[in-house]
Amino acid sequence: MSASTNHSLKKEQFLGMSHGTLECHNIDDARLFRTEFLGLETVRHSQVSFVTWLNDPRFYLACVETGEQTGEQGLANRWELSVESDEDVVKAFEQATSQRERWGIRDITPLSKQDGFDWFAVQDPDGNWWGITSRNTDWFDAAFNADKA
Amino acid sequence: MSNVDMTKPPYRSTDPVVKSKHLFCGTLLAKDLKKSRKFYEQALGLECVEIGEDRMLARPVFNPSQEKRQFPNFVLDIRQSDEIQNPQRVFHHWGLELESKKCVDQMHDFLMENKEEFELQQVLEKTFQHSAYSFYFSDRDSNWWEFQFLPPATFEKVFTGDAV
Repeated sequence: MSASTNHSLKKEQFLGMSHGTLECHNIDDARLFRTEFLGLETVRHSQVSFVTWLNDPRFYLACVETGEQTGEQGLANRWELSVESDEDVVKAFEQATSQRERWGIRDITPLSKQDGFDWFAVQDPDGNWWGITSRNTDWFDAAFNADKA
Repeated sequence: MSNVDMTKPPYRSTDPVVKSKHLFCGTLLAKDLKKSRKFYEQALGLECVEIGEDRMLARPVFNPSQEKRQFPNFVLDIRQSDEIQNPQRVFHHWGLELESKKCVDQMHDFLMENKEEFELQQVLEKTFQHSAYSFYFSDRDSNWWEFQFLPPATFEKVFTGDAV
C-alpha cells in the first residue's frame, strides 16, 4: 500500500508552519536575551512558557521553562535570523564577542560565509543556537523557483 | 531586566545588539534525505528542493484558496548526516497547522497506518491543550513534529500582552 494514497489530506488542508519550540532555564532571563540581544519580540502567555517572534506572529517560537532539565542543542539544530547587510553581520559578531560575558553567551562560531553571505552563530545561555546572516528570503525563493523552472 | 514595555506592542527593544529583520529559517538533520523527502512531501505536506547531495530545503506549499488562513513561508534547511548527535525532544518540535479538528484526526489515522513505512519512532495520542487540538510524533531522525488545529480567535489572544 502506498502511503501517498491512504487517507492523507488535500493540499489546501495544510495551512503551513506556525511554530517551533525550545527550552529555557528561566523565562525572565531568556526574554531579556531575545529582546535586548537578538532583537526579537516576546510575550509571556502562560506561567511556564512564552512566545518569541519577529514582525509577523503567525510564525512564533514557543519556549518552555524547563529549569535544570533544559537540554543543550547542537549547532545543526538552530534558528536563523537575517539582518540587512554583511556590515550588520560583522557589527553583530564584534558586539557578541566583546559582550559575551554580559549576555552569558556560551559559544560563538567564527565569522564565515554561508551560501555566499556573511554568517556566524551564537549559543545562548540556555544552550540554543542562533545563526545571524545577511541571507534573506529571496535566496530561498530563488532555490525553490530554480527547481520548478 | 529589559526596559521593553511588555504590556503593548511591539514588545521589542529599540536598540538591540543584533538588528534582526527576519526569523525565517530553522535547521535540522536527517540521515537519508530521500527518505525524509518522501515523508516531508507525503505526510507533512511540504514542498522540497534538494540543493546539493547532502542538503535539502522544505517549506509549506502556498495555496491561493487558503491565502487568508495560511501561515508565512518558514523554511527548513535540512542537512544529511550519518549520525544524529543531538536527538531532539518533544520540547524541540515543529508545529504544523491543519484546517480543522477533523483533519487532525485524519492525519493521526494516516500516520498510525503508515508508521512503519515512514519509520516513525513515536506517534503520541491526540490531546486538547492551550485551546488547541493536536498530537506529537517523531520521525526516523528523532525530529519531533506537531499537527494541530488552533481556532483563529485563540491564536490572536496569545499575542495581546503578558498574561502573567
